Amino acid sequence: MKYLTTFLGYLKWHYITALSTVFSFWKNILVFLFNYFSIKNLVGNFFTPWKRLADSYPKRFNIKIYFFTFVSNSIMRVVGIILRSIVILFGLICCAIYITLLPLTLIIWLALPLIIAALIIFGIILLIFS
Amino acid sequence: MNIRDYLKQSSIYNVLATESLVSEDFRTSLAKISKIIIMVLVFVLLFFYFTKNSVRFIGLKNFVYSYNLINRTIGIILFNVGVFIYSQLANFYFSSSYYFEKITKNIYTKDELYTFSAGRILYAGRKTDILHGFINSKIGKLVFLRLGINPNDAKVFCNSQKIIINEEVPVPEDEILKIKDIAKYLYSTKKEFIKFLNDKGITDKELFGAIDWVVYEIETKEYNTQWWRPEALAKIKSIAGDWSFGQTFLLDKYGRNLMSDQEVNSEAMSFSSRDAEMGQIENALSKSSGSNAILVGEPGQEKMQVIWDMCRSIKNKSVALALQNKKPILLIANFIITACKDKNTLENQITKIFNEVVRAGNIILVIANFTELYKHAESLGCDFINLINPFLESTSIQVVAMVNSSDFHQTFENNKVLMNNFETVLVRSLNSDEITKIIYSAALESEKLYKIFFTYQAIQEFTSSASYYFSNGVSSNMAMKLLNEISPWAKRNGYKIIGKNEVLEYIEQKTNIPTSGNISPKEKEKLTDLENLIGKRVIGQKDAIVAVSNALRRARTGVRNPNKPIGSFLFLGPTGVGKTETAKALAFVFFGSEDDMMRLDMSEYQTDDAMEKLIGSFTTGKPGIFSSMIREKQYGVVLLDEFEKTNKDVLNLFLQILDEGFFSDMSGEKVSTKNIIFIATSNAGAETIFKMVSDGKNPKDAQDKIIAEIVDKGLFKPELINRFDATIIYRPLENADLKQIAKIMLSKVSSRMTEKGLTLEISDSLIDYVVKNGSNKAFGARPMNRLIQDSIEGTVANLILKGDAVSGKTIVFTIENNNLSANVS
Repeated sequence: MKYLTTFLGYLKWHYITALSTVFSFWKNILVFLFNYFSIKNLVGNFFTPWKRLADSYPKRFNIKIYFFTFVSNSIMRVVGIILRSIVILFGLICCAIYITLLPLTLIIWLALPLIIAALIIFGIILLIFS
Repeated sequence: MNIRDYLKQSSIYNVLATESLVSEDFRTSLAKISKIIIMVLVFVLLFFYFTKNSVRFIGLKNFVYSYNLINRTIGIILFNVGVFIYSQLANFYFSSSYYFEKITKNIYTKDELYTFSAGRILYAGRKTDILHGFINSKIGKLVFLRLGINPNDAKVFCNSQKIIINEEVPVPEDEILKIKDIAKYLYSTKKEFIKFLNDKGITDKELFGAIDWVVYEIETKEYNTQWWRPEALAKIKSIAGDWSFGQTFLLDKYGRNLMSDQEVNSEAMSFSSRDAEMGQIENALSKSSGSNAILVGEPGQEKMQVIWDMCRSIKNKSVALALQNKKPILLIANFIITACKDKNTLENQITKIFNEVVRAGNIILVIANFTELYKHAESLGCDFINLINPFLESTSIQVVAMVNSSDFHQTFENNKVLMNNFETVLVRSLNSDEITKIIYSAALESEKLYKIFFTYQAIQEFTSSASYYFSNGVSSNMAMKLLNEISPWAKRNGYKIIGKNEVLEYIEQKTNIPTSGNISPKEKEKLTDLENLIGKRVIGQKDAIVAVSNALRRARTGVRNPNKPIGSFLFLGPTGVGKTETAKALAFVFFGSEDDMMRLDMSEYQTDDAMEKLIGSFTTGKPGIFSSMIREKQYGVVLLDEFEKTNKDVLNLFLQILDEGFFSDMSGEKVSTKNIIFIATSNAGAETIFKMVSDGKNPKDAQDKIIAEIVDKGLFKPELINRFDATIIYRPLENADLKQIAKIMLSKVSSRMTEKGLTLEISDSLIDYVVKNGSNKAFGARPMNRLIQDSIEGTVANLILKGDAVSGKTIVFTIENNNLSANVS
């Protein structure tokens, strides 16, 4: 009776309570991926020069210095944009793949008790009847 | 309600029931074994796969195929994969069902009846009673181990106890049932259990403390297994977090990134009691402009601990928006002070650093030793405040400066320009309970690292010893330092279990202060015989000797007030009656040598600069005589000679010292005097004492009258006299006492002469001569020493020089008409 009660208690947890835990588990990992690739931060600073390596423009107007500053700052911006784009793209691909895994995760979770039972039984059959 | 019915009412019941079937140890073993089997067999399969065409293994191949071993191996692997997934799923089940009570707050829902730990105890006692459940549960066993009790002893005791059938659960009215409620119930109702604990020297406070620690330990372990928690995942560094921010090349030269500090990354420091300070810092740094904070606290690491807490919160991403993704960098003031020796360089470097910080965009500039940097700049003629003020006012910088309380009040508090842009955050010192909780997690880390085990009493001792035996520093730092030092020491000395005595033994080795933990038989003998030992040197002052001896015994056995000096005595009486000698004798008998007596002639501290001389000068930075003396020797006797002659400020300083056991030196650092015996001597009241003696009265009987007279004269305030443990009246010496003193002094001369092969005959007439000519009413026995030097030692020296006194001779002094003459025979 005790075994049956605890088993039923477990099943209740597995198919009702834990579903929200599995979902928050999945959500936490998604947020982590998003943070890991710093996507929000990179998008917010998309046009900022690479590591803010930018020169200040001269206080007195000098076309030559002004031009060179503009060019070097633009180069740093372009470098920043390229590198950020690569990371954002890669990060978004990873997140997208991960999002598609949600249904699969749920299916595996729902079938997990059966999968465990199947692995153990099939293993015993192979061991004994081979 | 009985245990079973009560247990079943909660949803935790099912988890507890399952846990009893699949224990944590069982799950861990399953996971370990199945993992090893899978790895080995996968390796074997790969081996077969890659060698299937090899001729060398043809025999083995035939054997494998004839018994269908490959399929069977796959069968074992599949079986173990199933077992492994099962063990992990079971772990997930318990982890996600676990309810914390210490680590996270307010996690229990209203419909819960008991915490997880309380449930485990009730479940273990569901067939017996609560006491049996506590002792037989895993938590109970861990609690006994932490208290230094063998769980088997507890089990033997448990088996001798009668089971209470259908025992009522002590259900609290408002809150859910916690393990501490169970412990309180047991401690208040089970007399045999209390006796069992008391016999082992365990108090209720220790029992509750050990329970607290064990629950914390279990929960920490459980919490750390939940790697999917957002704050755990947030600790993993992002790959492009700092791409949008600037570099700080110059600041990196003068500072360090606090996010890399061990204190930020170690799990050991995860406990914090500084929510209030953290909240204030977050508010200050979140302001739209002037977003800077100045941390004010005692000298030491406490302010830095708050900064480390802030760094941990940034790392866990559990901070206000204005601090998220920020990088606190510590500007080390001493590096700048050393590098910038002139005004221009300093101004230039400071401006560049602040500009770098503004440009980087993600830096919180933390300046330790802000006062030193400020003073250095001022000494070079630089207007430091106006130099940094434009940056502090701006919206694009966050600065946290750290200053000591005394510096803050003296230098910064009234500087309106600076304080307009700084929010003051007062960093309070932690109380002993909070320090103990910090030690909880650090001790668990140390245990893992050094494979040692701390009892709860050892943890408690770290906290109490930190303020008891160490003269300076903040208690929480000292407690942590002690823990970090004692672990490798214990490992080297082969101690596996560290209890209170081991901690005290280490402290004794480190400080040379005897701790109450280990009193050797020889020392015990000395302590019980103190009166006789001191009485051999101090004649005729029994009351003083008894008072001093009692103070020492109290100190050594640990029953004294730990927040005061070991003892403090005011010796009143005429000159030459043994006041100073008592202090010397005490130092010699108990502390081993007269050198352990530190002497301050208080008549030298009468002028206005007396305080500066004693505790140091803030303006010149010169350390004080008294503070340096105590720092060098934290354990011994301090003689304050002619105490009444010092000025009022010094007397007020001693009001605090005698009451609280510490004082603050010129830099505001605390100096502990808790292991010092203070003996203040004074001639005040001598005339009254003489008068009483000449009237045939005992001065001791009129002590109150003498003290009242001293107070009336304004020599000492009544509150100062009351701060002393005892005020002892030294009576003038009587003839018999003087004779005894003369005899002791002459014996000393005799023993020195014996070393030269000479013998001094000490006759009664010689003693009488010394008493008559070497003592008087005003100076007591003080002139005696001078007389012996001039008359006796001087005569002997002449005889040696003349060649009359050679080795083997005896010198006999004869007295005629009060004239001294020496004969050699």
